Amino acid sequence: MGFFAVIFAVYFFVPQKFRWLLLLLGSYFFYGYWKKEYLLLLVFPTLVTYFAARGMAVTKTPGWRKFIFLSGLLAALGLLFVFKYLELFRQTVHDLMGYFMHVQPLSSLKIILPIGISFFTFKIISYLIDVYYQKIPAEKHLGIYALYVSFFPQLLAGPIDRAAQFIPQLKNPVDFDWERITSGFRLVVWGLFKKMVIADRLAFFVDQVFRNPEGQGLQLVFAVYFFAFQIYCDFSGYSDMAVGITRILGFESMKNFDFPYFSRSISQFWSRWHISLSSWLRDYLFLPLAYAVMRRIKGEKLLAVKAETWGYFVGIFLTMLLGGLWHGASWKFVIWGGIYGIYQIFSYAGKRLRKKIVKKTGLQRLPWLRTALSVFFTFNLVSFAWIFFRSPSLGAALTFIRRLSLAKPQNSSAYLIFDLILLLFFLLIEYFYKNKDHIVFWQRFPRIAKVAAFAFFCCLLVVFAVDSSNEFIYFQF
Amino acid sequence: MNSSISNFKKSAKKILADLLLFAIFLFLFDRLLFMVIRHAEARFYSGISSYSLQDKFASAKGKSEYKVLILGTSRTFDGIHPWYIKNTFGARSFKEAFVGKGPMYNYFFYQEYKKFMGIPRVVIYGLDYFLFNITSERHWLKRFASDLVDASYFKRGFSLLLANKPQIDEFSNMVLNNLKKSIWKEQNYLIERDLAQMEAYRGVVSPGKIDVAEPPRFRKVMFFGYPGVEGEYFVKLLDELQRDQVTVLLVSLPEYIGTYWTNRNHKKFQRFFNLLAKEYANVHFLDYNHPSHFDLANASYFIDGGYGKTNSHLSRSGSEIFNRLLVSDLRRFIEKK
Repeated sequence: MGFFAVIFAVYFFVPQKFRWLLLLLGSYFFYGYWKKEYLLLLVFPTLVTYFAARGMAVTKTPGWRKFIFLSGLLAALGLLFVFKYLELFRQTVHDLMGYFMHVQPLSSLKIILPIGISFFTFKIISYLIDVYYQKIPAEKHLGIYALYVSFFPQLLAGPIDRAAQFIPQLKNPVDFDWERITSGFRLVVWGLFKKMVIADRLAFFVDQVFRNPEGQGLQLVFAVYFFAFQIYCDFSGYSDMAVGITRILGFESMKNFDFPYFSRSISQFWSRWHISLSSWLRDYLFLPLAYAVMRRIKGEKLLAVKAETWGYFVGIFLTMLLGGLWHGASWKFVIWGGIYGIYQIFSYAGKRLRKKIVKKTGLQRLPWLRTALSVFFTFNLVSFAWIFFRSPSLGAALTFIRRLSLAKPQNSSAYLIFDLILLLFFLLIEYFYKNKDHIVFWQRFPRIAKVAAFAFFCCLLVVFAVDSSNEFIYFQF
Repeated sequence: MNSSISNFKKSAKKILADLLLFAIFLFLFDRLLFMVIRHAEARFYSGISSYSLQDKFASAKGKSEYKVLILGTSRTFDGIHPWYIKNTFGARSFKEAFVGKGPMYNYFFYQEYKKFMGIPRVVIYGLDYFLFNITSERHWLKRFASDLVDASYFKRGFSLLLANKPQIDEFSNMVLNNLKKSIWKEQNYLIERDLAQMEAYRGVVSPGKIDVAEPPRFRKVMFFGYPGVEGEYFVKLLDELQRDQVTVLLVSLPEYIGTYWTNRNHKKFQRFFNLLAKEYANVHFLDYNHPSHFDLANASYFIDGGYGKTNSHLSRSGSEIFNRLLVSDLRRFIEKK
């Protein structure tokens, strides 16, 4: 935040035509401050993909275009593979070989995962694909392109903004707009509240229970629900801060969360959770995969199942598996993604059955109850999957699930009751925040009252914030 | 002219009005909330029962036998045990080490100790890497006269809420713990209260679960230097012990290797206490927190700690090895008197 304060202090005094340079240097300083050697990992793929895109723009031969495109893609993905997945790949090959022959223990390569690599690599890939398919022109200004890749509010954990929407904004002049700046600032404070008051406080209880699940009884169930809110507040809190800072600087980032725990189905959940990633996966993975499967099926059906359905099943399952793997180089994330794949396949296949149940039980006459039940059911499915995400390993997740019970815990946690109260308070604020434009009394509030309410909220933030330095969970991806 | 600057000038009045209003409301709510919290805190602590120091001193039989006073936090509670000192030298030790007993508490405690128990021969002070970053907990400070403590306990600043954040957190934790106890009908009994148990206590038997794998990246923490939060009380205590001609041993206890690497600025820590010890004739700095002095990598010697964790406590087996090392070094200080 101190770094941003410095940038903000000088930003509007710098002439428009040099602001990109200030932001680019600031972004590189921000990234290099953590480990300056890793700046190369940001600069190298930026240069490679910039020249690849420029090459595609000037080349007339389709074969050459494809070659340049694939080379750029390979360079970006290669770096991601080496720094994120090589260790897992070696370990898996080693373990598989161990089934058939005697192998020596494997020593770790000790590769440190560069922070934010998954995020900026996905930005680069989408840019290359969009240029290849001529959805957008190749950016001529190297500095603007480098800024798009490294823009500091989005660099560590997104949102993964698309070049088509973001690059033009970077070129447009930005005026000083007090209303926009205060709106961005409010978003930053709200993000801080979510992270420091809700997520970090829930982390005490969740960490304690997941670290030692034995004898926790009912607290295991609460830990699962609390983790669902911890990760939501942690990640959406970061996203709010990133979107808020972006707005203060005069740009609009895409919305990354849209009240996902109010979703009525898993597919709706994924259209509201980490939207910049889920829409990326939809556009660049799911749709091409689904079409490819449909094209390969000759005729309308295969094994009495429509080609369209096959396309959906294969596409969604593989997308979810890879989406899981994107989150971390561990099989537990693949399983986590796989669970969502299965959820979505069952959800798709069970549409008729659900309709029948609704008809038979008379739920169609009670739409509010139907909605409530759908939200409750979806939230529980999502929470169950989080067990795999949060547990240190696949084995630990299975042990955790086996221990789930409603028994009284041996050692109760002091945080349980407070966390429950806090969550209710949070849901109330979030509901208010969601509907603030429709709530008449808030709109009629005089400006002075709104400023007072904001000042009071800032004081509450200080009182309830957890004084710890927990990193954002998504920084590790 | 830069259009941003001209826009800024145009809306300058509005901006100034907003900022001024915000600052005024922030200041008012800060004071108001702090007042409410302080009032609630005073009511809360007056309502909970507390075990007084006088009770504790009264339970000490054979006051003249207590030659050693052990001060520190929970690391000292789990790490330095009177049992070993008594078994080696026959000297009894009064141990006043527990979680939340920072330099301010120890300073006020020593005033009371002198009154009721007399001046000790040796004081062993268990040092923590975070010594200057901790706040003595309010429920312990309640043992002393409030006019002495309150002025030092609450800090001043533009934002009282920010300046007193650790105090607010401590109060909220106390409320939560009390709430938990009343809901789950729990009763706890602290060994800390009982002098006889403290003299027999030799640490936690079963080692805790320590994540021994070194992660590729973990948080590293700088040494929070003097004076920090309560550092001035630490020096005041040393001054007073010097005047009382008490031998003081500043003992740096072993940390699990993960914690040792997390607390990365050991050299600065050592340099500070070495220099401090040189300023006093009777103060000595004994550093056991180094892989060459103690097997820091043996996880069974610790109950907690790890990479990214700043705190680590010795287990029973670890403290046995450590105390044997310590008593062999203590010999020259205890026997020469």
